[in-house]
Amino acid sequence: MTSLAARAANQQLGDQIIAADRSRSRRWRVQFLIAWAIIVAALVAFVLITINLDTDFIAKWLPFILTGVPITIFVSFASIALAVVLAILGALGRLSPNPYLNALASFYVSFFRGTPLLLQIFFIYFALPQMGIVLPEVPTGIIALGLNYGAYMTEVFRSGIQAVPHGQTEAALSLGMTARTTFRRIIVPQAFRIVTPAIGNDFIAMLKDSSLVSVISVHELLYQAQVAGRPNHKSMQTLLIAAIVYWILTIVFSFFQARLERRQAVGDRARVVG
Amino acid sequence: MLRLTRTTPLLTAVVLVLAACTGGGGAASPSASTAAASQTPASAAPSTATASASASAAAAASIDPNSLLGKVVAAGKIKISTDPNYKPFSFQNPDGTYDGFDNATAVEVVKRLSQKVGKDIAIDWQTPSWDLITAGGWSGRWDISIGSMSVTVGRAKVVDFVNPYYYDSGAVAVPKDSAVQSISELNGGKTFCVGAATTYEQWLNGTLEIVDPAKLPAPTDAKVTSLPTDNECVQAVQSGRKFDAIVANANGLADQVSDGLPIRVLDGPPIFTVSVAFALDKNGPPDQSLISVLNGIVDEMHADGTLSKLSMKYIKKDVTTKPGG
Repeated sequence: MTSLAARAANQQLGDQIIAADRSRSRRWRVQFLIAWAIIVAALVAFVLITINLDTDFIAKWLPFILTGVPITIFVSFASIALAVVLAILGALGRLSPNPYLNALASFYVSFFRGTPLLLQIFFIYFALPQMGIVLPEVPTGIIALGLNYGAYMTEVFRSGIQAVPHGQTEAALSLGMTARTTFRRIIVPQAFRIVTPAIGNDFIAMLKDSSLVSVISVHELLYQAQVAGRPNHKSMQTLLIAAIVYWILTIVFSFFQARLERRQAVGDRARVVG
Repeated sequence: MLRLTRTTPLLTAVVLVLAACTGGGGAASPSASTAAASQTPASAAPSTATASASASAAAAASIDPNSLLGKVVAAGKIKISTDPNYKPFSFQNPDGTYDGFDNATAVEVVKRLSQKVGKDIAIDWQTPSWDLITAGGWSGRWDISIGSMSVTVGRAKVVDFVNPYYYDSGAVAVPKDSAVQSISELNGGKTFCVGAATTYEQWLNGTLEIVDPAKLPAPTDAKVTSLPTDNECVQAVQSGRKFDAIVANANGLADQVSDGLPIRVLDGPPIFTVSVAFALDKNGPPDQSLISVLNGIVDEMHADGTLSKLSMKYIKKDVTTKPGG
């Protein structure tokens, strides 16, 4: 009886703690959202006061500016895909015992991290045709962005591979796996989960850095905003629109990134529990 | 951990995939100049078109295929660089079409070029930043600049110029509330805003060499701020940044004054006048045959009043006759 009563009391206490926890976290979330709303409202008020918004002008030029959005997204996706491929190769090179591959990979990282992205864009724009390769502007921009980001991501991938505990390799080898199978089936899947947040982060950065290729005649979002704004002396308004669109894009992609990370984490936890 | 022999097939595969990706990307990518199609010159009246086509078929046959003209004719398109940040000379409409004095001139020139070579030539607009255009060494990225390039001694070292199609003059503007009335008041360490890589920047820095001797001395000890285009200068003044003066194209400044921007153009003679011409890359394929065709077209368009008409339409005055001559 007494133990039953004690258990009931415990149960009740537990429920109370959980309820208090819930209400605290609910209150926290409400405060968080209120703070966000205040900041956004202040920003909107500031913009409305400082920039004399011309709604007719914006309505007229909005479709023109938005034609840059698919190009921005396309360039970002294609560049990040190229960067991932280069980064995998680069990371393999950086971890390779072969001195030539290692030298090649470390040179690549050193060179493309050591020079400004804008300079690389100009360089590739003019250098490729001198080798007889005249690609249109968009692929040229993708190559430049991909090469640059690939260099940064090489280091991310290398550290991701190295972050997989050595015990994993030892365990796999002792189970009779070959070094290659171990790498492909044991190391890479775990490394991938480690580097996913970094890839997402780089993609968000890429969405914005893709604006740099506007200098080589790629008509992406920022280019469109500038061309709409300058001749009409309303650059601030068109740039504001571009800023909002970039921001929305990053919010959308951050959402998908968070979901991807959560899904990968679920797999991990399920295995631990099961 | 991986040996060369093990990575080789992987490397090869990745390189192949990469090649396929970039190739496919090129084909699928939205062309930077789809809008150009709508401005491709429609051939003139059908009867004259066929007549001139047959007449110039012989001329087309004698074109050196390795020359720039030969390459343009073979491709059926000409890549024209323009900087659509310079109303009323070059700008884009909300539907994406290219408009303005330079671009309308380009459309008319290409229309006449098509008739002369007996083949329809389309325009592929390219919009690299202005400093890339004036630097030369275009690597075939575009064939010609039809974009208000002033003829200077320095630029003539890297590009070949066609006969002038109009004449430009530079002017100095000050903020509307400024007390300055003449250029002489701007000596001695005043702040100036100009577009980067423009003749106005060169004038301020004392490096402008033009064939035309009509050039006023630049203010002494000028503190120069160069922004990507001179339009940023005007907008900077509008937003409250303090510059003592802006140096830019007289017609562009007049356009901005009439648009109600808070600047005032100083009275007096232009700070310099200069010929403006189409430019072709000196490092590109041999361009003499194309230049001689274009010289003919430009002379024709001066003579038949086409250029004057376009000038009146976009600039509201005729800038196509040489000042004082």
